[in-house]
Amino acid sequence: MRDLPEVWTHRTAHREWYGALEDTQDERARAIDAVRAHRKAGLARALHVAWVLTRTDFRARYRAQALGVAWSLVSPLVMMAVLSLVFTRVFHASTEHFPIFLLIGVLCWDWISNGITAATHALVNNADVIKRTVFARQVLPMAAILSYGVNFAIASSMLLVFIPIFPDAFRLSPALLLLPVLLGLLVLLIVGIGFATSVLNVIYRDVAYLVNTGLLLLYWLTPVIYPLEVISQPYRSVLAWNPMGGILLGIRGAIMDGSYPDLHAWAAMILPTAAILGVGWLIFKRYERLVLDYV
Amino acid sequence: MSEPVRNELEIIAGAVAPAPAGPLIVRADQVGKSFRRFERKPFLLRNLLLRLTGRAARVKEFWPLRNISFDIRGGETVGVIGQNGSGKSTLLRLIAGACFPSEGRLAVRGRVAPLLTLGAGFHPDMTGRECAEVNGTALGLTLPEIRDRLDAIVAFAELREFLDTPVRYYSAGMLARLGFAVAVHIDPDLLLVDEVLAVGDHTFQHKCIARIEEMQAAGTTILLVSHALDLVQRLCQRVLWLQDGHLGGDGEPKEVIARYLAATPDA
Repeated sequence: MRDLPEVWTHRTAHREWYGALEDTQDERARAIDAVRAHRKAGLARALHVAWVLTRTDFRARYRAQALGVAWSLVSPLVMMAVLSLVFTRVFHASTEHFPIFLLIGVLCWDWISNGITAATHALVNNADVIKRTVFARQVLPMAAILSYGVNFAIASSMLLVFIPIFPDAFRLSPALLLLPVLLGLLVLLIVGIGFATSVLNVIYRDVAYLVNTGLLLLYWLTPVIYPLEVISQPYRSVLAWNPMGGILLGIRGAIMDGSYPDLHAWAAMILPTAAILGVGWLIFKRYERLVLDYV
Repeated sequence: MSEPVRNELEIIAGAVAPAPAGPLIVRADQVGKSFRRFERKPFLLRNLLLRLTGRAARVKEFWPLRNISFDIRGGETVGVIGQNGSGKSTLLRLIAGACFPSEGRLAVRGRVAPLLTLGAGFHPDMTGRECAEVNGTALGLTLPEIRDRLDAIVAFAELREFLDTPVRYYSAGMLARLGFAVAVHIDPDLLLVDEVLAVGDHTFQHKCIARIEEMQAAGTTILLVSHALDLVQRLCQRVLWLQDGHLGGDGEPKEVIARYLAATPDA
């Protein structure tokens, strides 16, 4: 039999902590290094689990679909084609390079809506793993979102194909270096929402419907298929604080005009994102224990 | 409750098997668990409205486990017996860390491999291989470590031809075998077995018991929930008897099982 670790996991109704068996001052001091190592190993493990889950989730999803990964290209392309036709022929929209404008919007929106929906169901769908094993359960909604991030990355490569077709719609500029930052913000934002909806969906049965309705609303509140300029004041200033819209505009600006968001735009992205992430985390932590009783 | 009785018996008869001298691996201190009881899942919107208007209904609770204290030492094989609904599975889930106690304190150390509620809940489009990988990593191995053991796992589960088949097409028995095979191949310090031996055919059951005995010999601590009292008596050095969520007995298998049978009506 191998030696048992020095570090114990203690669980009570309100707390979970690592430490020596007896919670005295001396014992705590003695175990402090072991506890630190244990925590570090725990974090590494959570990341590893997140990676394995993301990978598996992505593969399993495409196994179920006839066209495989190609499917993630078809859906945004069809959306782009239909919307371009409707808006330019029927409504005579005057936005420049409208197809590319749309494609960027649709690509991002697909990630947002699929990611949030998948995260909402992440804990329910993985009930079996949750019930039987102990690991950082936060990784489940995160993995669901990142797995759709892989989709997004594959589908976005389509933009490269359009460069020769609409050469004027793309601008090669240092602003492109902002893309990782903007996409990082987008991940934090949807992960924050996913934290909250994933735990609530286990406990309440109307959450999945609320999320669907909410996404529909959000779709129209975010300039996915229209430019923000068509909205009249004062509504435009209010909508500018929608972090999803802000991030989307930032991404479009970086790709299509080589422009940078101004200070106000950064604030309108970062502050709401931080708030949503914080609240989502708190909701997750608060309901996490209950979730274990419900799944 | 039974502690002092056992000690007295030990002194008088001197017949109880020597206490295993291994280091402590589980300590349950006055542990209780309550669940909320609903007729069905609540609505978020309705609850929010009720809470805002101060008319939130009080939650009904029930306690499948209350006031449980015991120690388990490394290397012990402990049987858990009791009637349906006496809290056996809840106890195992608590030790596995898959839920939190509602009162008292539970301390566990080492790598725990729980074999609880096998079968349901695997992502249906995952293949058997991916299920093994996800479960193995969630239980504490790394991906390369699982790949090293994959051969042994599929051989044990007898699923070699179906390794790359989505588990959607697995039977309940196949899933259970896969789950068992993963859990017994991750080198746990503590193996929690919840009545899983009821699945699988005769041959597979024998293989499972043989594997448990192998792990026992290697010094793995095992907690075995079972209604098969002869199996408990054969494998375990000690038995916990749960009676309506309380500890009805804790001690030498023969004696505790006899008391359990005496206290349980036949029909």
